Amino acid sequence: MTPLPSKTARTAPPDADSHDADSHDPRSPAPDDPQAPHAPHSPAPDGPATTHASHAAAGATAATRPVLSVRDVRIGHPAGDREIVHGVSFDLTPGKALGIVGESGSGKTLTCRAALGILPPPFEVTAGTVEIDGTPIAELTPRQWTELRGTTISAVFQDPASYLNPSLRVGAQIAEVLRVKKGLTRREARARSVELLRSVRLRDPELVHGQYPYELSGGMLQRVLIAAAIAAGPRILIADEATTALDVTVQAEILDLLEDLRERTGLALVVVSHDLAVVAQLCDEVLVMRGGEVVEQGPTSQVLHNPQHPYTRLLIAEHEQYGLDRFLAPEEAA
Amino acid sequence: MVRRVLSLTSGRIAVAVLAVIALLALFGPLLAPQDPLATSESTLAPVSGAHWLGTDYLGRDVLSRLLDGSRVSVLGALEVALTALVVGAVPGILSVCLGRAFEWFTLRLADTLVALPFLLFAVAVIALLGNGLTQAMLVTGVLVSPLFYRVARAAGLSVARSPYVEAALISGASIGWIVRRHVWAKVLPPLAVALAQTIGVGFVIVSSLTFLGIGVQPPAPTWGGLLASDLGYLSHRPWAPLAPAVLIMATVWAANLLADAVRDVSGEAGRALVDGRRARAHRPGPAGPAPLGGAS
Amino acid sequence: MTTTEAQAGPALRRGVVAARTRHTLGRVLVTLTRSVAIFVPVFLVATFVTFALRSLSGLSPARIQLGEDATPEAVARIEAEWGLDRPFLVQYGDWFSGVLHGQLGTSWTNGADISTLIGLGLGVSLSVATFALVIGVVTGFALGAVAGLRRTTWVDRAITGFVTVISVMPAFVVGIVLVAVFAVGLGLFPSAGYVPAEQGFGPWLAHITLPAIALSFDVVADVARQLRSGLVAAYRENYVTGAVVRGLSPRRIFFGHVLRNALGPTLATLGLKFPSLVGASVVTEWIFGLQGFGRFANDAAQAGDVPAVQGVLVVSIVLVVSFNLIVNLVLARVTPAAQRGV
Repeated sequence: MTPLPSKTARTAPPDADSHDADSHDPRSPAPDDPQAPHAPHSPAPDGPATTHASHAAAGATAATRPVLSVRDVRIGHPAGDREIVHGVSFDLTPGKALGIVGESGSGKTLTCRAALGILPPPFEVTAGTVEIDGTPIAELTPRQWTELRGTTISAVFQDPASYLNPSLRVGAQIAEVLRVKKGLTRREARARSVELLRSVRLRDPELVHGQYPYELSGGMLQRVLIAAAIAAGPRILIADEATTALDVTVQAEILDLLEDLRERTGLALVVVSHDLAVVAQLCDEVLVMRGGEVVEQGPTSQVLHNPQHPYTRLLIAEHEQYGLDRFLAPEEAA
Repeated sequence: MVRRVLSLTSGRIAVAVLAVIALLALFGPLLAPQDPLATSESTLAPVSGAHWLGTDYLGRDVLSRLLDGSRVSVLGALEVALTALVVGAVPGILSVCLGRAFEWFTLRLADTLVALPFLLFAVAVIALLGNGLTQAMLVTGVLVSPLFYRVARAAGLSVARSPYVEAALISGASIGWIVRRHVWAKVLPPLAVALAQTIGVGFVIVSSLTFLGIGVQPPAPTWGGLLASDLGYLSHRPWAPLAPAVLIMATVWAANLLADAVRDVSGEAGRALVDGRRARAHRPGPAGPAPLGGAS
Repeated sequence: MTTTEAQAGPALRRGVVAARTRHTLGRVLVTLTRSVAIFVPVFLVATFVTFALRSLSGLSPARIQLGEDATPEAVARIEAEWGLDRPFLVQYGDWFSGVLHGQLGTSWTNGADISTLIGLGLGVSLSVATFALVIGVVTGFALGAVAGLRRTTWVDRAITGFVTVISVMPAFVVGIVLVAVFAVGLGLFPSAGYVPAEQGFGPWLAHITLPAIALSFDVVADVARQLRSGLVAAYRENYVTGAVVRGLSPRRIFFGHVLRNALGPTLATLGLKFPSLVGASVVTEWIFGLQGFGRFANDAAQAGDVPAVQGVLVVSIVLVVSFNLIVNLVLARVTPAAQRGV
């Protein structure tokens, strides 16, 4: 059993390596695939440098005022004193990406839903504050919420098929957002929604525009859902396990698309995933959650290279143990 | 399952009401204080000590007629339900096991029966076959049998296509064991729900037919017939239809309540009924309803 | 990821749009064909069975016209007159070709043309049935929608309770109660009879209101229940969350998204409801003294007038199928193919 020592030997230095490998591992399985032109390119440049910049600038000037600010948010049953999320805090400035990692049931989805104001009924924010663009959400009326959603904060989820109305054509669902939120006419909305479909890199936007959700594949649906989410030009996009159910190549393309949107439009991203690789590829800052507790929080590179909490270390180790690099490594060595 | 139904309040109420009705049917004719056919001088009499519910236009005691008529109505409803169960459920289950030809044929037949206005058809067929309650109930039973066909078929399909049956087969369980362990558990609850519902439906049909004077010879009392004879004398005794109407409604309500209670306690399996009924509604759904919807 | 046609490029786009129009047209055609395909066996089986039953029952026009103590010769003469001495299949074939030409034959009891007799009654019955459907759909819709929107509140429980109560009331019980209260007791409506709409809208409406309400209870209960459960189920779906997150207003989500999806099962139930509405008209027309289709069916059946009974069945099947056709066409518009499992 030689892998054991070799693995431990690799743990410390190749963490940098692992970040690197993680980020392009989705693409690397198919180097011969012509659809993966980014294969050699690694998104490492957006890693440490911007993170440091963001932290240096955080809260300093009005320009980088956090667009989403979560302060010690606790979520639980208001009646029974069962608390599910025990205090989460983070700031998100425009153009930045925050990753939340954790196993299922760790409270990461509830945290996001709290920020969107769509906590499932028994749950409530029991303490702490969430501010969207400077407005505390506790003070929002239902009407104000409706106004805020779509234009300031929006979200995409896992299982995109279920988040689109099955009996409406997908184009109509995007156009609806444009007509309601932007006041476009029917014709303008149609043109703009085709444009949006093109901007999320769907091949034939005109065709997709007139199709029903059941006629599209999972990857296409996630693009449509993203197009609908960004239709009204929100400043924050929450991607809750948005790539989980997709196969690896599609996942890479969607992540690439999100990255592109962030760079182009200054969108602030919250990326929720159980997969460290997804977060590592996209985010400046990472929050590791377990059992409703934030166990580790910090710049991505720091968390990945120098994990403090045993759980984070476990996540990284598991990734190495079961990830693709375990199989690739011996080959490289050989 | 009986115990679980009885653990629900609604189940207890339903069973209690149905038990009272069943007792009426069994002993009602014996309990009747007077001869239900005996006419008297005091016609259309109001409620009194001698006639608890008054008398009708021929001076016959209404309470006696009500008690005497209960047996016909209840037996009729049971006949409908049992006929429908046998005629519907057997081909329903067979349609899953036997070949495609049988499946196609029975599906078409079920579609046909559903499309018929059954009260109208029952009236027509009974008139042609002669005026007898048993014929009437058998015909009605056949006409409502598609419900059982669909329910049994949906349940059968969901069992036949379920991974756990496959898994049991692979792990070497005998067919008999699988039927006992899995098939019954899946098929029986929805059939029980359908049976309870059909008793309610059958009761309405029996009452409607007897109301029209179909299925019984004139002097013999029935709940529906009582209502019909009350109709002509509403200006004299406007409250007269109350007793038979309440009895009919209570029975139907109790039958529906029982159906709901059975469905509630049988959980997942009970939902096969809902799926089965909605199959015609072309709803999307897992395994069970899809083939039904596609075929209708 | 992308479908093969997606790679076709913009050149073919016009073709695709044209194909979509054709596709919609095709769907309507498929719906029509399917309804007719169900209708044909229904029709054949039902008419064949009634024909066979006549042979089995030994009913004959001779008995009706001559009474029980007619001589065998006289009976044979009359049966020959009606063509009943011919082979069974020849009779059936003859009758069937007549039906295809709109001829339902002549009545055994009075020799009148059955198509004419049924046509007379149909006006009454359709007035009542249509009005009952309108009442049923409007009321059921309102109750179901309110219960669905206010689910798990006392409003919901009250409506559900009310719906349960009216669902167990058979049409003839409701009819009698209505007559007792509104016609005999309060004298607000006429208790029986019918006035055609040409002789005044008011009297016409007054005469059909009570029977229509009696018939509508079943429809109200079914529509309300189905719509409520449809709405409750639809509100649990993720696409509602999706619409909320996109910033659509609750009103827009209800009308544009939830209602659309809850409507399908409700409409389908309505299609299934129609046969029982036709059936119940036999009883309500009896109560309200309407000389309609249902009354004609009852009288013909009780008199043993076989051609009339057969005519009634043919017409009722045509009614049921046409109604289902309308429902299916509406369904095809409201929900796309995938939802209907096509």
